[in-house]
Amino acid sequence: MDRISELPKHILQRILYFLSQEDAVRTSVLSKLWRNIWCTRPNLDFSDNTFKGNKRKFLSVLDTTLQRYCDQEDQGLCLEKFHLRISLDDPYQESVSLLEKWVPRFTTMGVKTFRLSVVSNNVHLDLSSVVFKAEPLKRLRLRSCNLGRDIPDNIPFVRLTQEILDKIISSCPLLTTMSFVDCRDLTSVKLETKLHKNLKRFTFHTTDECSVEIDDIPTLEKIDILGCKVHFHSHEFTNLEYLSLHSVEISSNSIEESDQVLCIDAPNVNYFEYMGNFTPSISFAPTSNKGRWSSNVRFYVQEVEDAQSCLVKLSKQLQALTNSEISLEIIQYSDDNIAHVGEDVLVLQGGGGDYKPVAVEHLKLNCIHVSSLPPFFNCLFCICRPKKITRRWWSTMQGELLIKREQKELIEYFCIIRERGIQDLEDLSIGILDNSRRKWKRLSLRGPISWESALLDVDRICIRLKWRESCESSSKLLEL
Amino acid sequence: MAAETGTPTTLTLKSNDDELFSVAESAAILSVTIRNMVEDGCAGGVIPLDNVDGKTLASVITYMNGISAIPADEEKKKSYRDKFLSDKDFETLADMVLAANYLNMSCLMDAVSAKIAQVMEKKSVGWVRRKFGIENDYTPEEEAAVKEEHKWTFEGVETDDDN
Repeated sequence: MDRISELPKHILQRILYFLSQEDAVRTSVLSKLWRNIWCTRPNLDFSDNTFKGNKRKFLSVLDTTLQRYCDQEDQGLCLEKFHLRISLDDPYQESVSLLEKWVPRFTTMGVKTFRLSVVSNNVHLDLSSVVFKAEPLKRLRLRSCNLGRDIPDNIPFVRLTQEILDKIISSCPLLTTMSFVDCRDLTSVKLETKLHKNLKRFTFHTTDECSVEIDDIPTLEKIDILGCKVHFHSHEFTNLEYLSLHSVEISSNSIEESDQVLCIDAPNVNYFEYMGNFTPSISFAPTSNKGRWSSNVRFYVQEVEDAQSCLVKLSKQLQALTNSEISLEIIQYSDDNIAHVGEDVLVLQGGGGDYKPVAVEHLKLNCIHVSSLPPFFNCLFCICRPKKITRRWWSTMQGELLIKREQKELIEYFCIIRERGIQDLEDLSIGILDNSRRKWKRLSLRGPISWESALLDVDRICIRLKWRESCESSSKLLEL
Repeated sequence: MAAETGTPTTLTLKSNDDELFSVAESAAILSVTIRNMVEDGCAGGVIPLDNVDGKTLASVITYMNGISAIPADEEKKKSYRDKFLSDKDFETLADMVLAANYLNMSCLMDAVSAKIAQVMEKKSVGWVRRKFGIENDYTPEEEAAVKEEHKWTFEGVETDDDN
């Protein structure tokens, strides 16, 4: 016999352990000896996402395979890992009943690692009947699931309460990843120290009104929250590496009253992302300093009268992130607001000394009306020193003519900046992306620009700026 | 029995073709089989390893020394394993997986199993048969029936010339 087929069965099972479900099952055709080894390997990995075949087939393959494993339980078959990703989009809800039938059954079969990922288009899923007491559950991801209890439609206000969720969670003590994306009827989530002893990754995205409370969970490595009210009871996250807050409202008692700053002490953070139309300055405590980390701020400018305070807030936030490589995106909704930011802001800030300009790796401009650019940039350059500025246009959203005009005005503005010079600016260059050839070329700034040919089919402009080391940092260098 | 003061820090291992190898005890106890012998006080003289030949044992000892020199850093250990296995052919891998099994070294066993699995990844049945010299003992009817049973796993896999 050949060398591989001669190996003891448990070694062959171990080899198949490292294959995808599909590759493992296909070995059954190799020879008679291989026929049933796949269904004794210690892991099952099913995903309807990668399954080749229709949903009906997926469900029947899943059902048959699970049955085979169950039938062998009394022969000492040990299932170590069970990964299942399933969407509940079939019309007869067979997938829901399959989950309800098998998950409780399997989690008692000695599974050590169970990952469950459920995607549905608001199909109702009674979470408690599926994962209640699923002790080996390590990752739970739910997308667009309706988690309300099985209550008739005429009683619409009964929801999955915190209490029920807590019960489920406390019955799954090994949970390391918990992700709820667009799950209806989940109005409040509280991460409690005593319930989440192993929680590392927490994702919560919603468009509904909802609140998330986070206690002291020292194991947390990733927090990713979109669109709800967040209440931080703890500010120390020793292991936190990734923090993303999108369109969230930070509960006021999470913020230090005096300076309106949400302090997060995350010494191991390597990525911070913030997006929203208000600015909770998140400051990472001085210990948050090991190595380089990056931050990505998406900043909305919305109201006319607020533009000035917006910039002050933005400045505060950038100051708090000085230790990181900052990428900043500024998004403007309405047309005529930033233009009203007067030169006085510039004076106020330039002379105030409170806001030292912060180095920004990349500044992206999104939907900024060009006529408002000069005063806007004048202010912006007082609070930050971008090394690269890019602006992109989508021709479907704006007319060709308008785009051309904006591009011309943008370039003209920077030509003037280059000639007149501004504080600490050494040099700048302008690159334009030729849309059809997908190639960047540098725009020659010597002599007059022939706009017609220069701006033919351009959808992106990038300005690179070289700044002098600021006086302060050079004097610091001298001291050293 | 309690450890005696004269516990040797170097062990002598003997392969089934009578080659002798010296290895630091701290590295050798990566093998649960050897560790049990040490703990039972049977490691004083020469430890005979009846199921491992000299060539394989030399390789396993290289691995033991290499991996135990790396401090607790899973990523570095993984990249050491990858490098260690990168130039091994299947015959050697098969010897190693059997040795790892006999010596009860789960980390080596997993690394070698994964390496063998990697060869089979996304490959057609015919390709795997040729690669490993597996003889097809199904009748054409039987084979067709098994294929039909697991039809979904054949979608998108390149068909072979020989079946």
